[in-house]
Amino acid sequence: MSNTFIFKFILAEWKKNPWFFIKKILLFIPVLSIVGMFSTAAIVPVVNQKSFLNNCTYDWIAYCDEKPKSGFAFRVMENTTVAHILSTDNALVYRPQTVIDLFIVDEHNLYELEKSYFNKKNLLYGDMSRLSTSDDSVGIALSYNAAKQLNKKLGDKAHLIIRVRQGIDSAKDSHANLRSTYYPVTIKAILKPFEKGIGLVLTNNKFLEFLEKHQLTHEIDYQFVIFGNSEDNHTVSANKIVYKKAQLSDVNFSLSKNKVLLIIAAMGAVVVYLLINREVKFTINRRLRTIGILLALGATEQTLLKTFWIEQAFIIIVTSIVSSIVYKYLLMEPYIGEYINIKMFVTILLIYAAIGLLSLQIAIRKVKTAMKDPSLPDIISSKPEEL
Amino acid sequence: MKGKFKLIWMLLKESKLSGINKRIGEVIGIILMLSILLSFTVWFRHIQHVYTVLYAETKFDFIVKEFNEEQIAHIKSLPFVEAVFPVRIISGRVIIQDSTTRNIPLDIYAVDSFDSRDISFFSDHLIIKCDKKILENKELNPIIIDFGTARKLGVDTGDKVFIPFGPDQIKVPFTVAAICDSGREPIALILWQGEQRSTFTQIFGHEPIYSIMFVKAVDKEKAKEYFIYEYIPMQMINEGLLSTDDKNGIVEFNRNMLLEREKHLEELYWELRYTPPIVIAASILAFIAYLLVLYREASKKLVMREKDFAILYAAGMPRFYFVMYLLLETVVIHVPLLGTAAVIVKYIVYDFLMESYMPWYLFGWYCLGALTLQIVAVVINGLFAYLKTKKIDISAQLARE
Repeated sequence: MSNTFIFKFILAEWKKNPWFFIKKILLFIPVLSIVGMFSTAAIVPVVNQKSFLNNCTYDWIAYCDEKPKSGFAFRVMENTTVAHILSTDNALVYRPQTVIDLFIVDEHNLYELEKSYFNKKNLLYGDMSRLSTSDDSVGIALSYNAAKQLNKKLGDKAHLIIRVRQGIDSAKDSHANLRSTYYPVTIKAILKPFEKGIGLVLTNNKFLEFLEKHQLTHEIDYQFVIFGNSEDNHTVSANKIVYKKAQLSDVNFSLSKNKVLLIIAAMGAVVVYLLINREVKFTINRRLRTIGILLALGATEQTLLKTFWIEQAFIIIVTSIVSSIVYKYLLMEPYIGEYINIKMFVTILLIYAAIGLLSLQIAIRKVKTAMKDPSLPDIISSKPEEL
Repeated sequence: MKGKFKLIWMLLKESKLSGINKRIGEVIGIILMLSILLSFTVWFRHIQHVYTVLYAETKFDFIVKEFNEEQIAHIKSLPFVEAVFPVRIISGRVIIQDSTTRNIPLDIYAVDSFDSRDISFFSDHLIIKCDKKILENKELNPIIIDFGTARKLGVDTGDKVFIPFGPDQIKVPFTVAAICDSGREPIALILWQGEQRSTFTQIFGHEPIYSIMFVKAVDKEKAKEYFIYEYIPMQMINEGLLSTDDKNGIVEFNRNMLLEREKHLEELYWELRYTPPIVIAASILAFIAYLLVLYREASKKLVMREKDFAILYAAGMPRFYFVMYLLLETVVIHVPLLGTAAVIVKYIVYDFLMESYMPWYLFGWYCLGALTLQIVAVVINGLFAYLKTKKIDISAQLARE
């Protein structure tokens, strides 16, 4: 009985003034999504970093100057620039560009990827096992943030800018100038975002010839990197060992480490709460008279509260869903350039809905107080002369 | 006319909520909302500012390295050079406040004179607080320190700080003359004189070499050409690499050593990824959210006053007065709220919570934008009110008759 009444009442309200509801939803969708974007813009990379590392199966990473005698090691060039080359009147301009740690692997060692950063769980688009190319370029797998900064998609071409020291006195001279040489790459896979951009290149004969021709194999600061598990027993003289546990503890959400990020997120939550709370309170103020009349006509308090709650909750949930979609697909991905995975998307949706429903629950106390006012039924049922 | 204004004033007085708790709640709610939304509008711009301030807000054109005292005089005399500011940088030194153990590692810029300071990282534009008397008094051994360092040390202008020199940590006292904005770079500017100079030379047996020279050019192109093609760096002179064969090497060396402020700034924007288009777009997005919230607030207000307007319109008040009333209400009630919100954003959100200096010359534009949007939101609603009164024309006519 009460369910029919609730349904009919809400329907009647919609029919009476549909613009009242639509306007509210339309105004709130951009506001909530933009506020959401700002309050999570700094947290999303941290969440991504944590999830990226959690997907990896290694326990430690060893950085060595020399290739280990046993086992496999990636050759790594730290701080390598990948760029789109623009030709201007005066010179070649590398723009947009991004700096990555470039891992190099050959075809025979592709099976080693699973233990490293470049595992299947961290793959977003493309195929890591098909990095080989049919033209002069080499296939590259880039982390999402690097590809985004480069403004490139799967299948696009870019250039690897390799800078080699060419000193006046010696190659080790810090004042020596840098000679740049470049090699085309084709983006064959995109990985999930990683704090510092990373890339994986699959070498082929032409690329190796290029390296030899420019004597780059001798001049570039290569490092050899081993991804290992606790049971692995490589005899390496590593100059640096990074443990996954330490990497993960670096990206925790403690207040001391992420004070600003947490403050911004909290500010976003407060503003969402205030907005919804003020909106619900405003609706209650407008409805008080109707509530009073219905109460006088015999509707129970419980039914009235339920009616109001269902109606407002419906608006809040619709707004939350659409806001989350706008947040993910219109604001975050194309604009800020961070990747929001489904877990993050659902979390945002739940946060919106939870804050909305919480403020509704708090605001509804006002209806309860109004209903408990003993004068309300008297006023409504009194004769005109008594007023 | 007087009567009409009385009516508007009456409406204004009536618009306040009854009950002090309700009023306080309303005011706090609005101020909090405005503060947070305003913080978001300027957030990306502020990040960009923090990382680029030393190159975006300064007046020098080039930073030249590898020079000696004679070269300074020569460069200064060049017709296309307006001013130079040579600096010795003593890196990794520490400032300690004597009474406590707080110490901050920073780059100390030691100069022979404060003349031409305005073309350096310590220009007047970046000075947040300054005591000119201390700055001009060499006896007090003035020091300019950055906002972050001053905050961490808990010092203000006029306070004493100490720089320890050498293995024995001989503390040389300085008086804080000014506090400057340097983004995230902990830097300080001191005069290379007196106790600090003698202590340093006593300990190390020599003076620290000149590190960088800020150069302001009259003709940027000519100056750039000179510093790349003609300038012979001190290192080359010392090593005697002056033959024709070395010429190309010197040009390449100069290209790498010369820092062009504008070019460097552009590179910083790209590195930061918060490039100008992204910052502008982010600010616009935040302002859209701000406008929508203000519009909704104004619209709610209008709904609450709708009945009053209808009655007043029936009583003969011109339609235009409703818009005027709403605007007046914005100025009288909302401007102080926005002002309070702006103060909260600057001093509590950015300075205190985020521990980062927010200059008014940057934030002021955003406050102005917020105020404009507040007026826009009210005007839009006022126009709706204006149009709505048309609907009640008949009832008003009836009432008059």
